[in-house]
Amino acid sequence: MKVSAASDISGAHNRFRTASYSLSEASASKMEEPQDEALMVAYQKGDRRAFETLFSRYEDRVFGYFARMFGDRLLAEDLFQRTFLHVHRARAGYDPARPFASWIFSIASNLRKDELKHRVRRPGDASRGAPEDAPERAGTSADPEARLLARERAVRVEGALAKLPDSQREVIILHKLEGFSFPEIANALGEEVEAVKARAFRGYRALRGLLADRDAP
Amino acid sequence: MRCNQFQTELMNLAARGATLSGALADHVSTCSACREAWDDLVFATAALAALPQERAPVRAVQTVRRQVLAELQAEANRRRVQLGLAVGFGLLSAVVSLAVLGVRIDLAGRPAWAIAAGGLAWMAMFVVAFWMLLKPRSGSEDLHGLILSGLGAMAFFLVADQFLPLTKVVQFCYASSWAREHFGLLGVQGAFFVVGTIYALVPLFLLSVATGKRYRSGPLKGGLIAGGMFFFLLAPAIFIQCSAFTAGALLGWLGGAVIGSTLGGVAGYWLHRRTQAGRV
Repeated sequence: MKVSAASDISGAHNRFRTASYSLSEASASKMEEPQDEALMVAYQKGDRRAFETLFSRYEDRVFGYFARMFGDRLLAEDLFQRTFLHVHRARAGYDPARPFASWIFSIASNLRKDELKHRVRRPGDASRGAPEDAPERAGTSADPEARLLARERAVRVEGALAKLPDSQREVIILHKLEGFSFPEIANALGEEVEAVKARAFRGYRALRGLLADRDAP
Repeated sequence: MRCNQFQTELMNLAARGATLSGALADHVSTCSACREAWDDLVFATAALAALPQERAPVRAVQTVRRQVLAELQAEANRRRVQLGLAVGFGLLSAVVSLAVLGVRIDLAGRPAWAIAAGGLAWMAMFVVAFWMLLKPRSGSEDLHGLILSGLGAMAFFLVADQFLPLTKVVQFCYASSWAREHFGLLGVQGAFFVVGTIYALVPLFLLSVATGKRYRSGPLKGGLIAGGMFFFLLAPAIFIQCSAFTAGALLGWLGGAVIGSTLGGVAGYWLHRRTQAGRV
């Protein structure tokens, strides 16, 4: 199944091979945005603009992944920085045939696993920041009551998400919040597609159960 | 289809906030387990959709941007220095090679255009070789080993050609009755081909054996790359020396250099690999 996942991905992204890898050429056509893979190739060659564009596309996504995985914004900030510095130093080894999103999230996922191992060795660090600790950011409505309700709801969902096992939470974040397909998630995590789907299915249903428990009087 | 085969599609639809249709809607309407799963998925994904977008903190974003841009700038500066060094070393190597050649042959007696063309070709090849040797290593340690092998073989050839000039060996073949008996059938072109092959094969064979530990890929690939590099470094020397000979001699020597440099590299890496395998 892994093979078919890889072929799905390579098939879907073969168009990147034919894309121009020069950012200046890619940008020359304002009709379409340069693909991540083309930007990455330009970045490999030292193109500053390519880095800036890629970074702006992924900064919130990578930070959001860590913030939701750990519920600790300070730790998320640290891991976010480490991910991009790792990408920078490992960029020579990037293969443009691989989707960039899968590659960067595989780096993020490995850093997350390292952090978890580190926490097992130092249990004192293992406390998960409560979602309530998160700064005010839910809701953009001008109505204070609506904003409060949105914030309460977000806190409730984040609380339920935090109770899921790590492996299920990670797959759900990547699938629903990051918009990855299951083959892309399997590629990023280095796992079987079927295993990823099964975890997501169990995770979604468990999340529903947790939210229903909370909603129950 | 079995229920679990619908799960993926149900999850994808729910994650996109889409509605059921076609065979999937028919199945869900008749299967209570799938209907329950669908309701759960819709509820969970709708709840997740209400989560606010996370924003990376400005401080962290600026730190990463500043550090990466500074490193990119430092790399660009390093590349400029490396290019300057490659041009400098290339120019110096071309001048030294011409000077070494000039010790043995009368450069003043050769056409100026041949010396200029040979010198320029030499400089270009040396610049390319040194640039590839100096530029940041992009995971290809092998290439560095091959370039070292090609450059080393060229230096070896220039020195060896001083002590035992190839053209003198060919002349000897025609002066010596024994050699004329054996080489006579080959003609001048054939003699240049045979001696040219040996003069290319021996240096590259020795250098590829000596630098073999820096090269890990297949002997054929390595031999062809190192051989190609060596040949292009050797060609200007042949061209400058042969401008006084016939076209046949020039072609014979060039042909011999192609064969010799290819065989020398392949044989050298193959022998090194076999020796290493024997030690293990």
